[in-house]
Amino acid sequence: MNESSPTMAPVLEKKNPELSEAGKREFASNITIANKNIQEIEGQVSNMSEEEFKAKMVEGSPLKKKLGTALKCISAIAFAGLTVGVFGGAIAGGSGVSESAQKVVEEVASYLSVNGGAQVNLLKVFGVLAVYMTASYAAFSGIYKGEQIEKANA
Amino acid sequence: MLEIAEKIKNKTATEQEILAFTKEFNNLLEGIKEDLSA
Repeated sequence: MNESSPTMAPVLEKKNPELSEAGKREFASNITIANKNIQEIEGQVSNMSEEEFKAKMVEGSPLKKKLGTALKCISAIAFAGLTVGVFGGAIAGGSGVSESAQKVVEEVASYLSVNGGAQVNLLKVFGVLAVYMTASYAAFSGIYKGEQIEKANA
Repeated sequence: MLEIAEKIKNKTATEQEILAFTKEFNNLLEGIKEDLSA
């Protein structure tokens, strides 16, 4: 068997494109801002009383709609992070990324399934999200420096 | 936004879409912060 034959090449898993250098810089900047924004939102929610939170989260409120969209987006990205090649390897392969991504997907699904979206459940989502963002950013930082691209795409 | 998120999930997003997504995502988070503080 000729192992160098092109017909024997492994089937590569589908990946989002590898970002250009300019794209990686923009991505890093945007992710840094997102991380900061998520921490600020978590702080705002933590400092609200349950009554205040419930009042803002009434059915059809802009806040509830925006949070729902944000969490669905986060879940989709975390889901992609469970395999490899999210953002062309920009977020993948780092220690703990897959494990924390799995928790994010589970917690978001649980939160979205709760009628009304309780504050305590939202804070639980932010808790796992913080771990995921930290692990993802650590992985991205390494890859951005060109140190882990092969590992991430392995 | 959700459309691009799905593309990222399915790994069919282009670089342009990925970058647009991160920008839009931050706009969304800014909106959430405003709503929470209103």
